[in-house]
Amino acid sequence: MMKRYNAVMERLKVTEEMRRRILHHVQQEVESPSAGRSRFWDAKLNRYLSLAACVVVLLAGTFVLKETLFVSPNSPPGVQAPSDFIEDVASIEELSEKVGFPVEELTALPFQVETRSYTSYWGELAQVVYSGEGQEATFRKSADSTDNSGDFTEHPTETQLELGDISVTLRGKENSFTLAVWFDGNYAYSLSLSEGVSAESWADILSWIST
Amino acid sequence: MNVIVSPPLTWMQRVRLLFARVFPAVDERRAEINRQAEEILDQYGNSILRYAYSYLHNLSDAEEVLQDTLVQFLKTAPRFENETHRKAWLLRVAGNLSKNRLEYNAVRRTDELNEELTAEQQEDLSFVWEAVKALPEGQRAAIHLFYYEGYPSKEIAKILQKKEATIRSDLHRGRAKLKELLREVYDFDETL
Repeated sequence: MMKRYNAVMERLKVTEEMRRRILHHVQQEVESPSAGRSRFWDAKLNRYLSLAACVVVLLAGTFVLKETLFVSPNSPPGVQAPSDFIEDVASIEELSEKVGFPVEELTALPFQVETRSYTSYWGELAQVVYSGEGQEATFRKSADSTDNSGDFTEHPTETQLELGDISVTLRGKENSFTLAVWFDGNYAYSLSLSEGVSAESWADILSWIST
Repeated sequence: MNVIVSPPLTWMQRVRLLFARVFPAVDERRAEINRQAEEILDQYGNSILRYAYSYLHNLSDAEEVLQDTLVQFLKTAPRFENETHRKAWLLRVAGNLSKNRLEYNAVRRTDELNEELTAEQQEDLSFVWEAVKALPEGQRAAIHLFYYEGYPSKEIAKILQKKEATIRSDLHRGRAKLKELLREVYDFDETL
């Protein structure tokens, strides 16, 4: 019977036409979210795009722009271009500028850091990936209170680590934790390690939180 | 020949195009997003579409769930241990989106699959499809993930965010119901 069910399911396929349609809509949705899905992002994006439009008007010249742009006479000139999509930047300072809040550089990781990469997601989430000695650490910071780790692994062990006034949730297996998430009242943070360490080691890695 | 006609550009979209010419890196990032979406679509598009269809029984709705799942993937930027983990995440999101849609869809729309099977006089397939459709949502999802996707009950529990005991119960009841509906015409694999 279930072979027949499978035969029924096999009739449903993503056709070429459906594929083109979906990719087109996904691109549009990612660039310009529908009303109600992300009102915060819509308001922020529209404001920055309005300001960016004024900059383009000044740069590109009247002939090209007068047929394609609406110019707001009240918009201030020289406005910085908004962060867009997923953007790699060169430094922690640039990353802080992209997301609009300060991003800390971690210095007490359990391995010698050889490379760092800085990424802004949608101008809202800051990510720094540290690599070295075959290990990796992913640090994320965002201006909200949700778990921004993107880690959906089922961790069998969870414990709380108190650092000053901050309660850090550690997740892992037995006494080897690979993920820490916390909220300081203003920003959500997460740090994930490719190789788990003990809760005591985490206290050293995150000692900067309570300073 | 099918021609996809894009709607006229709004002034905001024209700004973006000009912005892309001035800052070509934006186009590169857009290409990267497109690449990620294409990769997911090519690898898991059919699975997600079929799973959504098992909930919604309508191709247009299932397509929108597939689209929304891709958007969630691109916006959330989740990290995975392996491909199995990634697929399970995608199916879980698709299931949640499908359930949300069911809550708001008061009117049942066309079941294209059933119409196609009927038109082709594939009565045996049509009977099976109607029987599975008749199952309660939880049992139907468990049956689909177990028999079509081949997940064990433990993994189904993670995807559906239920206890494993509940999944075993849903599978047991779903099979019993299907037997009753199909009057033991077909064989079942009893192994969990």
